[in-house]
Amino acid sequence: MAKTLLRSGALTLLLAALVLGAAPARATSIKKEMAYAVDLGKKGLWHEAAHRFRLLLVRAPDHPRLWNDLAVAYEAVGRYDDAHQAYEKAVALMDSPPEEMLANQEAFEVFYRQWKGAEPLPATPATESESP
Amino acid sequence: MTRRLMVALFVILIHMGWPASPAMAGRPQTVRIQLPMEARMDTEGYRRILVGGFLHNDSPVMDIEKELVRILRRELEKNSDFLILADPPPSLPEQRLEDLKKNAPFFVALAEEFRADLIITGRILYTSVDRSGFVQGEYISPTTGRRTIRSYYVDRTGYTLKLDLIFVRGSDGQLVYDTSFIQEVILDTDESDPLGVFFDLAERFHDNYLAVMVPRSRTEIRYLFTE
Repeated sequence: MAKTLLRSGALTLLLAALVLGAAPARATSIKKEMAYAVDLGKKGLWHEAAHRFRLLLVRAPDHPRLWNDLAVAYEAVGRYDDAHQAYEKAVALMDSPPEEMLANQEAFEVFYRQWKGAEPLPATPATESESP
Repeated sequence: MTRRLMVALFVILIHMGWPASPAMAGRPQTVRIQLPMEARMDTEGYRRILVGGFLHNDSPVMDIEKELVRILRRELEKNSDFLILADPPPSLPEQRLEDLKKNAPFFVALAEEFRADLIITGRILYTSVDRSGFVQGEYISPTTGRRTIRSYYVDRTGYTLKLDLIFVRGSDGQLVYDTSFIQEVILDTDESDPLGVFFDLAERFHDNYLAVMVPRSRTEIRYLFTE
């Protein structure tokens, strides 16, 4: 009787693990696919990497690190407006983003402002008044 | 039997990645990326480029129009395959920049004279203003070594370089692109040389105006997260 109880208890635990383990399993799957996409990016296959990051974000839309990686991929393929939005999303999803993420965003924004043609300084009245 | 089941359970959980927590996240990886920058203007059909002249203010230290034309030509020759015409920069009609942009007949005539496909012209303004005033700084007494904050007068000059570039199609004199850049620097008057400051400020524009006509790329370092 005791043996049966023990066995059924263990079986219940196993079943619970299977049910509860579904979320971690998904996390593991995302982790593996994320690492694969990162490898693609490191090999210079940024279009495919961006595609895979986007697919992963459909499954985990609030994953800030994925948004960061997607932003980097967008940068590498010249989609700067999209990269700008992706970085904003990544940082907004965390209370205290890691310094690497902030460094990415900061460096990109410097480039982005230049790329957009935004000027670091406003025109001074003295400059304008002397227009020929 | 129970022990076997518990071991099996543990193995399954580990295989499923449990426990998974952000604290376990690995270190981000460094990656070097090339940021492509397409030319902002469609340059198809343009081969012969005429640079200048430019509307400009008077400067006591140099001919800023001549220097700007020299810099623009040099950078375009160095970084593109366009044929940059070496003729002296033509004089522009005395009119405001906004009116010049619409002066298609003038540009058509200019393009015919120089056989130019594209004309790069515009306006350059190099000005300086007195930015002297009181600033606060730390003062250490030579006798007591005590640190205090004091106000002191600084003789400074602010230099501003503003460049308005317009790109005009030679065939019909129409404006195809225009852009503006401005840079300002404030320096101690004693240590600043207006001529040197002009070239320093002009150099900061190189990437900006080249980006209009020449595809470029820039190498940057980024971090990627793997989990």
